[in-house]
Amino acid sequence: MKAFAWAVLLGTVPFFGNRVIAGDGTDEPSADAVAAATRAVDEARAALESHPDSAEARAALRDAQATLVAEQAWAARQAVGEHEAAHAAADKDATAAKTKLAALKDQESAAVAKRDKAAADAASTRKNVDELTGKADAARAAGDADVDKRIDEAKKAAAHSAESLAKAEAAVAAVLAEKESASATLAAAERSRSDAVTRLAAARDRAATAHAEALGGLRPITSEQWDYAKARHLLFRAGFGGTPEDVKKLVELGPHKAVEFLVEYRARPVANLEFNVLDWERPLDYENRLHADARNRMAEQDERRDATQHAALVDWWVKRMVESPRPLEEKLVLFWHDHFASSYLTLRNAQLLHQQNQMFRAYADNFDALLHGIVIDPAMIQYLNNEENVAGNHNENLGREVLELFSIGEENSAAHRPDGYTETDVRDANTRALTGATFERYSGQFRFRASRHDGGVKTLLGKAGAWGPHEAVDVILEHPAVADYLARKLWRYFVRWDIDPESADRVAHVLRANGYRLRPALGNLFLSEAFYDPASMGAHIKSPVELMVGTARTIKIAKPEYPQWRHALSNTGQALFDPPSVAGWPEGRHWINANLLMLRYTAVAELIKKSETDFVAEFKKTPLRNADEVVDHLTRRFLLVELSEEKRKSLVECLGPLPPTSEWDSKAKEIQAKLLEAIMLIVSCPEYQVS
Amino acid sequence: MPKIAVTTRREWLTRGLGLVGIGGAVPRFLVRSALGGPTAEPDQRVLVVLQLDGGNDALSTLVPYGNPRYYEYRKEATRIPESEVIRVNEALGFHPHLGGWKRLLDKGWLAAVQGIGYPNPNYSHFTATDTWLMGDPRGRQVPFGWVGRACDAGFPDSSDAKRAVAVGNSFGAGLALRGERHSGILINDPSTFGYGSADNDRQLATYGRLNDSGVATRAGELEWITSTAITANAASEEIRRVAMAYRPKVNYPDTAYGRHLRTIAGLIAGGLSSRIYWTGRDGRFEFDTHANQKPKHDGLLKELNDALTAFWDDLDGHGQANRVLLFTISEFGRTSKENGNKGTDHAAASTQFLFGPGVKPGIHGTHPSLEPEDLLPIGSSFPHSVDFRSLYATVLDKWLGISGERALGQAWPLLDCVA
Repeated sequence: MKAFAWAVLLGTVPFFGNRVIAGDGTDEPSADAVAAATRAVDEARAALESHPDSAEARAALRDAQATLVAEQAWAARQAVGEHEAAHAAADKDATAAKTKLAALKDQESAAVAKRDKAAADAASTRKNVDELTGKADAARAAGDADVDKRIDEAKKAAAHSAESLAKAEAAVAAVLAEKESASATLAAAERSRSDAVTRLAAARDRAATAHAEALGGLRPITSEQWDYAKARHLLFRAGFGGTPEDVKKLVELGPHKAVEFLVEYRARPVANLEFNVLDWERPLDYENRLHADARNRMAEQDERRDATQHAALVDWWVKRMVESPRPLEEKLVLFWHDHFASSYLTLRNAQLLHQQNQMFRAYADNFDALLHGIVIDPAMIQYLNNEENVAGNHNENLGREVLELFSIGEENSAAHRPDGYTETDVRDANTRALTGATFERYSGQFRFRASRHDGGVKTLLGKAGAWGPHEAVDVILEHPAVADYLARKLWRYFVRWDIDPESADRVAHVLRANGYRLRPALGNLFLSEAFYDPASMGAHIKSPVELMVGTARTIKIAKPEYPQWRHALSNTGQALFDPPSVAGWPEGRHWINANLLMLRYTAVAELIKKSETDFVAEFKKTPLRNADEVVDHLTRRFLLVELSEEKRKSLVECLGPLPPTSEWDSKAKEIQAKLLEAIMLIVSCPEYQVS
Repeated sequence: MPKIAVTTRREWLTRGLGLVGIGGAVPRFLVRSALGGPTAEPDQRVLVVLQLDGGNDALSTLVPYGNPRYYEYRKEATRIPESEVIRVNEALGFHPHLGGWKRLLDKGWLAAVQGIGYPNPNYSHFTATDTWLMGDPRGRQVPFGWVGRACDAGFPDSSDAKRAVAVGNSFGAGLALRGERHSGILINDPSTFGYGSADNDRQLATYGRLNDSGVATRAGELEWITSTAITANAASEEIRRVAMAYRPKVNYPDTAYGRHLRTIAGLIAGGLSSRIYWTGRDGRFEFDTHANQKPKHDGLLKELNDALTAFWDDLDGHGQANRVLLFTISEFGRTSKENGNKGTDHAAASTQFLFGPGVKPGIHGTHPSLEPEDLLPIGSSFPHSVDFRSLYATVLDKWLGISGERALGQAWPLLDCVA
C-alpha cells in the first residue's frame, strides 16, 4: 500500500481507538503485515545496492520504508485495542472481586449477628439451668414433683443452644476465611488492573509515536508527562478553557484520550444551540416585494431591524462559544471567521453572515471544502465585490484575496519564492476564473452566471485551462505553499507567535498528506512536545474573545448578559462579524496597547462583578487555612502563569486576615465580597492576559 | 526563570524599558520616576503622521487637469472635471472639496511632493503598508518601525515612554511606533484611558502594585504586557488630565479624523513631552476605492479638508502652529486608468502632503508622466521619482533634528519641502 494512502487512512480514523476499518490493509494480522513490510524494505534495499544509480530503486525503497512505518503504526494501534480489551477485562475482574467482597462483608455481618444471637441464647438457657438447679432443693421441699423434669428440659435447651452457637461460630469463621481469600483476589485484580492501565498507557504512547512518525508529524509527549498544567493548557488552547473540574476530567483521561475528546468533537451532539433567537424580521426577498419609493422610505427602519438581527447573531455565537460541548469546533469557526473575514459594517446583512458562519462550522475541519465554499459564498462575494467581476470588466478583489490571504499567502508570492504566485495570477488568471460567480440578492443563494463568465483559457500558477471558480481552487490547492501558509497560521493561533519552521513544516506535511483535513494535523499538534514546550505554555496573548469566553467558561456564570459582552468585545477590539479588514484581526501583540489593556481589565472585572457566582460555596470545598492559602488557591484557579512573590503578597494584604474555610458559613457574605474583590484584581493584571 | 536584577536607577534608565520584564525588584517609586520623565516640553517641535489607509487616489486629490491623458484615462466616474478643479497652477489643481487646503497653501502652510514610492513596488495592502510602517521594503522582517527607530535615535534616554503617541485605532501604528528602547503609547480615546473597576483606595492601591511591578515571571509576551502596563499606568493619568482639560478654539467635525486631531492638538498645546504623533481614520483600507469611487472618495477628502482646516486654525489660535509639522502617508497610489467598476486599482507612486508653517510651500517634484510608454506594465501605474524614505529622512532631519540616517539605517537624499 502506498504511503500516501496509508497516511490518509491513518488520518481518517479516530486516534488510538480500536475500531476496525473495513477495506484495504486490515485483512492480514498486523504482525504478518509488519514482517512482510520489513522484508519488502530489505528487498528494496538489496535491489538498490545492486543498482545504486537507479532512481526507480531508490523510490521503491522510500515507498517500502514508508509502508513499513505505516504498518508499524497500524500494528501499534491494533496493540492498543488489545490492551484496551485487557484493561477492560482486568477492570471487570476487579469490579467483580470488589462486588464479591462487598457481598461477603454483608454475609459476615449477618453471620456475626446470628452468632451473637446464638451466644445470647446459649447464655440465657445456661442461666435458666443454673437458676432452676439453684432453686431445685427448695422446690422439691415444697413438693414440686416436676422440678427435675424441668431441669432436664432446660438442660436439653441449653445443649441445643450451645450446639447452635458452635455452628454459628463455625459459619462466622467460614465467612471470614472466604473474605480473606476474596480480599486477596481483589488486591490481585486491582494490581492487574493497575498493570493493565500502565500497559495501556504505554501502548498508547507507542501507538502515538508510531502514528506521528507515519504521519510525518510532530513527536508526541508520553502519558507519564501528562499533568494538570498540561491538561489545562490543552483545554485553554484547543478550547476556551474551563473549571478545575473540567481540567481534572482531562487529566484522568490521559493525554491521548483527552486530545481525542477535544478533536473528535463530531462524536458529541450539540443541543439547543441552533439559531432560533428570532425570526428574520427582514426576510431576504423583502426588498424585492417593495415598491421603489417604499423601499427608500423603509431603508432607515430596515437598517435598524437588520442591526438588531446582527446583535442577536453576535449574542448567539458568543453563547455558543461559552456553552457548546464542542469547544474546538467554535474555536475553529473563530479561526475561519478571521481567516475568511467579512464584515457586517460593509454587508449590512446578518443573514448572509449567519449562512457563512454555519458554513465555517459545517466544514470547520476541512480546508479544501472551505476554500471551495468561500468562492461561492454570498457574503464573501458581496464583501469583495465579485458581483462586479464580469468577463471583460474585472474586479480583482476576490481573485486577489483568494491567493493573497485565503490560500497561498502573500508571504509565498513570487516576490518571496520562485514558485509563488504572480501579479498576473492575481489580476488575470484567478480574477477571470472567478468572473460570473455571484449570488441572488433576494434568496441569498449562490448563482453562477455563465453569461458573465470569461470562459477563455487562463494560465494559473503555470497551469493552463478554461478554469472556473472551483477548477481554479483545485489548481491552487495543488500548490505546496498552501499547506505551509495554513500550518503557520494554525501554529500562531494554537501554539505561539514565534514560528518554529521545522515544526510548522511537519504540520504542513500532515495537512497536505490528508487533503487539508485538519483533524489529523490538530490531533498530532495537540499531543506534541512542541505544543507543551515551556516556550509555548503561557506564551499566547488572549484575544478579546478568548479573554471573555475563557472567563465565562472558567467561572460558570449563572446569568450571562450576552449583550453587554458584545459591547465589551467591541470595545476591546474584536467585534464579532466585524473584523477590521479582509485580513481579519491583526493578532498577537496587536490585541494590546496602553488603552486596550485598561479596557480589557475593566471588561473582565465587570463581568466577574456581575457574575453572581458563589465563590464561597466553591472555595470551601477545599480546606484553606488563611488568606495566604486562599491567594495560592486563587492564582492556581485563574492564572496559567506564575505570579511573582511581590504581587502575591499584595493580594494577601488586600484580602486581610481570613478564617479557615470551615468557619466561612457564618461570614459568607463578607467573605464573598472579599473574594470577588481579589478575583477582580487578579484578572486586572498582565498575568491574566496570557494563556 | 532567570531574573536579571536591575539595581540602580541609572542602570534602569540606560537599559531601558525593553528590559522591564526581566528586571528584578525595582522599587516602585523608581519605576514611577523613571517613567515620569520630562513631563512637559512646551517649546519643542512636534511631528504628526496622518495615515490615509488603503491607497489614496492622488490623481483625484491633486488633479492633473492640464494633462489630456488624465481625461483620456479617467472616465466620467472617477474624473474631476476641469471646471470643478481649484486651480493651483496651469497643470494642477485641488479636488473641489479641498478649498481649505488651497487656503493653507496660499498661507504658505502646505507642500505637496509628487511621485513618492519605492523600487519594486508591492501591490498588496498588507505588504505595502508594512513597508511604510517599518520604513523598509522588507516589512516585518525588520524588527522595529520607523517611528520607534527615530525615537531610539533621537532620545537615547528612553525613560520617557510618551515620545511617540498614536491616537485612535489606526492600523499598524503599533508596528511603526515600536523601537528597541521606545514602545510608544497607543490610545483609542483619552477619556477611557485608565483603570475603571476599582471601588475603593485599597483596591486601587493593589491594582497599582499588580501593574507597576517591573517583575514578570516569564520572558516574551508576558514581559511585553508587563512593560505596556507600566507605561500605560504612568502615562494614563497625565494624558487623560491634559486631554480632558483642553478647550479648542474652533469646532472640530465629528469624524474620526476630527476627533483624533482634536485630541492631538490638546496634547500638543498641553505641553506633553511627546514628539511624534500618529493618527488615521480607524477603519481599514478606507481609501481602497475599487468600485464606485467618486462618492466615497469625495466624502473622504471632505473629511480630511474639514478636519485639517480645524486643526490648523485651532493650533494657530493657541499659538502652537509654529511647533507642528503634519504629513500624510498612504501605502500606494491608484491606477491612472479607471477600471470597469467606476473605481481604480492599486498602483505604485503617489503624492503626499505636508502641512504647517515649517514647510516650503508649493508643489515639489515633477508630476509623473502619464504617457503610455512611461507607465509600468502592471495596472497602468506610473513609476516613482522620490523614495518615501527621503520623505521620512527629511521630516526627521530637517524638522525634528533627528538623524534620518541613524533612524533609517541609511542616508537618503533630503528634500526641500521642509524649510
